[in-house]
Amino acid sequence: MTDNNENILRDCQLASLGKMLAGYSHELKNHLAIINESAGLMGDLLEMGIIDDEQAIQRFKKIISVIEERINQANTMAKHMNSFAHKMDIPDSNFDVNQLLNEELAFLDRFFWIKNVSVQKKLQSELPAVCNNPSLLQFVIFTYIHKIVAGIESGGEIALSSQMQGQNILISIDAPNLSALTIDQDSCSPDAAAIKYALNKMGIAIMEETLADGRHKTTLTIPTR
Amino acid sequence: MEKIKLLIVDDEEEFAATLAERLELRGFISKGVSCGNNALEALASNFSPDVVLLDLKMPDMNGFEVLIEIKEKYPSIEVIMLTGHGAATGGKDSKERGAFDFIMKPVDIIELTDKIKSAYQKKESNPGKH
Repeated sequence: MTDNNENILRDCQLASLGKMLAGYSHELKNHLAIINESAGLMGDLLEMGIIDDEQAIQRFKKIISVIEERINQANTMAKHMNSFAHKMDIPDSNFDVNQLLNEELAFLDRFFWIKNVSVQKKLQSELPAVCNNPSLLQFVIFTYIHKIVAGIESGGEIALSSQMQGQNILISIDAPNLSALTIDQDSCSPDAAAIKYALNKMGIAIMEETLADGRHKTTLTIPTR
Repeated sequence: MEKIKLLIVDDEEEFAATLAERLELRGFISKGVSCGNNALEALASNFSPDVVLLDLKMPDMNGFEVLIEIKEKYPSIEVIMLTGHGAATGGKDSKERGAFDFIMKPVDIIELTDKIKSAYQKKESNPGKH
């Protein structure tokens, strides 16, 4: 492990953080814009005295339900951001792999949507907690899937799964014909180097294979103890 | 004064519909569509707006692409860009590509109506454009 590797890892992790927060904050702004317009419309209707009949009351109820729905979505996003931020606080801690993966998908949702990528999720329930570096693992998975989404054809499909095998938890990412480690056609890709370095640092093995149907499968093996 | 006709283009349909309703209450004629292709279809039909309110980030065609096509085919129509970004760079780039102005989301309705009126005045002062 060299200082150079540490610097590469740090740079890529920060870049990944920036992408996450950029996409997420954009979505938050969209929700807030709709809340703002809905509340503004209620104000307009009140100010213009258009609330003296049952039809208007029903209209108000509909507007209020839109506001409540969007506030709930914004709250969920804020919760994910908060959870993410706290993972940065303590490098090594006990965490739930499935919760981490669900958060990851929430962070990536906008990128999936932009490329019209569908995601199949199959997470085994009641997995034991893992003691490792959740922030670093989140960085690895985010960077890996983000690179795949960037390289994938519009309308492609990604499958994400977790399962227990012996004393390990396996996380599998199944994508069409793509490996994030070689996607740049450049073995010196800083992202690929950072992913490998981070996995090594966490003691997580990575296995890549091409499936019979030509799809590419990447499996991370995370020791539970 | 003739009513100003607006086309609102935003992939968030609730946003476009609600904003259209608020602008209707203020005397504008508004129509909302949810993507760039629908906007170009609306412009090719009988609905000819004076001003287009155009979201910058959309999944099919982004706002810049739609803006460029509008200005090529319908140069007399003024376009105000809507951006959710904190930085003003998207707005600056829009103006360089021919947009009249830009406004940040969440939208200040008074600021927006002022910009729409200014855009309409500019359009009316250039009767030679088609």
